[in-house]
Amino acid sequence: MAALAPWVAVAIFLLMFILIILDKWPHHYITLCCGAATLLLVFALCMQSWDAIWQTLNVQSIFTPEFWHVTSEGAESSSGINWSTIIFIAGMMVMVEGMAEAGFFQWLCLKLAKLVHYKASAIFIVFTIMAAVLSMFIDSITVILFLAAVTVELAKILKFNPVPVILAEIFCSNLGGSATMCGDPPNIIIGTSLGLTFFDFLTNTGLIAGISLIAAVLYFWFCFRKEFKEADRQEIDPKTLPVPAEAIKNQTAFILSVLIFLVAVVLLVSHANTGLTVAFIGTFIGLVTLICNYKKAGLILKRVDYKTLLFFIGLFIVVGGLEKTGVLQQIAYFIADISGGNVVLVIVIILWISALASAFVDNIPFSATMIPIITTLASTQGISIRTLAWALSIGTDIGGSATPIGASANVVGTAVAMKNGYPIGWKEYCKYAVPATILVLAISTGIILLRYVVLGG
Amino acid sequence: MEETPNHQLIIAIDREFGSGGKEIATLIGERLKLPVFEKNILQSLGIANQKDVQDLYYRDESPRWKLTSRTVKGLTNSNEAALAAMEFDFLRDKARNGDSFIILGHCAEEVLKEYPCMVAFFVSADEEFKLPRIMAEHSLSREDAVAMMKRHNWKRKNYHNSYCEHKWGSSENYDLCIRSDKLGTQRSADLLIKFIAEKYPDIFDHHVNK
Repeated sequence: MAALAPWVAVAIFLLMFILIILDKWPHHYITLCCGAATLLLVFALCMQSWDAIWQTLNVQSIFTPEFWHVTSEGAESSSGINWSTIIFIAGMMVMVEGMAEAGFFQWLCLKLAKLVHYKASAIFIVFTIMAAVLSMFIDSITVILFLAAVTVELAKILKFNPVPVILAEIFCSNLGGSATMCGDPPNIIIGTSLGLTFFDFLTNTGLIAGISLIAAVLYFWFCFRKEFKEADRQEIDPKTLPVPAEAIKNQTAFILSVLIFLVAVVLLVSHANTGLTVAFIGTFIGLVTLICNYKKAGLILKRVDYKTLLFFIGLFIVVGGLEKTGVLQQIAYFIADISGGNVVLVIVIILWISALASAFVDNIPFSATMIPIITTLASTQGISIRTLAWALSIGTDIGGSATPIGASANVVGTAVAMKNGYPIGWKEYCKYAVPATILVLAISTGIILLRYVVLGG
Repeated sequence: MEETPNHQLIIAIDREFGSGGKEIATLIGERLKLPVFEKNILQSLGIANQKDVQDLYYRDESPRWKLTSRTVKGLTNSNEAALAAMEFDFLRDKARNGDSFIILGHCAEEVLKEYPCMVAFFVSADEEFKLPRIMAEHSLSREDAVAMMKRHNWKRKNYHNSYCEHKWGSSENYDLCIRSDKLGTQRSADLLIKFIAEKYPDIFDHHVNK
């Protein structure tokens, strides 16, 4: 029976992926059912290993001091359910809901639009950069949900086409997410699994994202410059312009939400020095948000996306099944074989395959699956795990920008546009996003190879 | 045009491609002086650019392509699904306003089922009735007309079944199912008008005499 375990694990994994793509049932049902099947069929029936079940559920890790505070650098959890990721995301979800409730995002967008005197071309540049900066700390779904809505609102008043701005916002939001450990779910998973810090990401993927952001903004400007220049010439009635202060629903809640956000940023930036883990930061920020908004705590908790958290739990179990049965190790050996141990080739394969896969399938299960693979590659091929981690992070985060279904922000951005009467089909989306993705991936490949292979940084 | 609620009449007509559903709807509309919505619904959705409206024509009443779309927080990148949601909202708003109208397809019999003033019909026909009509209307060969008919009926069926509880064309969905080839489009329309007159005599009189 034990010999069957890898095959059953692969079958469950493939079934999960196919069901996610077919989108017939809610994704968290699919991963939870497949997770339960992994526990029962792979671990209990084929392997008859209670240890494997226990290690994959990984509940014991929550009750260790290292889960909340680390004294030395090291991996927090590399196998089974990554509770750090789940608790951190839950805490950040609570914080973001608190900020949204206070009107922070609308206020910020309108304030910036006012600062640039409501010029379409300036709004384009400011909003795309803001999408990248906000996505460094807040999930890109929330960023795009608010940014795209305000963009459409302003576009109607200022009489410009919001589609180019929304396309650039989506792309730069994904780019910004790749810059930090908390910007995008794959980065949180990579960071917590490999014991990397916020600062590690900022100085590595952050640098790549920063350079790529300049290239991306220039690229989108070049594509749509005529439309923006034309829109700048429009005469606007100042009375029709929205007032930023009107977006603030409650002054006290607004100030508190900004303060909580700043505290979260400080805690994340300094977590390598303070030793506080992302699980601690997520729990702390979530609790503070609930205490500060105690009157609306129930409403905020209700709005938290539990489905995503359950999706993660099921997903980690299924990936745990592949890991425990040695399937992922075999894939790592295969990659090592075809690359012939060539570091450059391994990096290029990891980065571009991750990008290609993430353009069509959810990058969260993909990155979770790839972590044990790059860990094996690093240990068997003598390649720095960090270099592979940056390649994986950039590949999964940026590759998702290429198609309307590659990342959640793309889905949300195009949906908001369509809801407001500005349809963005696959053809139009890919026409601009695919070249931008290839451009950024080429820049990233160049930087990674130069910095970590040629210069050995 | 806004109606007083007690005179509101909504006629939902689902139809096979080529069966003359649109022609029947137009005849009923002329008799009862009601506007008919089909593809022209796209003009009422607030889509800013006319080129976008034209692009959406072939996405109207189309099922969502699962492999090329995803849903996040109830939002989808599928233009087909988003368009369907916008059209359903438009129909609900119109019905809520007390408007009377005829709507072809668009899952109207399910979307507006809470309105007691709604009457739902399904129009089907024999292939030998449908094909010459399709060939004449679209200047097609018989082969191409068969392909077009199959394609459109597949689209309508899958679109309907992905949003509705009951199946497309299933009798439990409609007040009356009619084969337009048996009586022809004019007499089929007359029969449906008689049905409406029998079912809602006061409302019928109001609309005919307005």
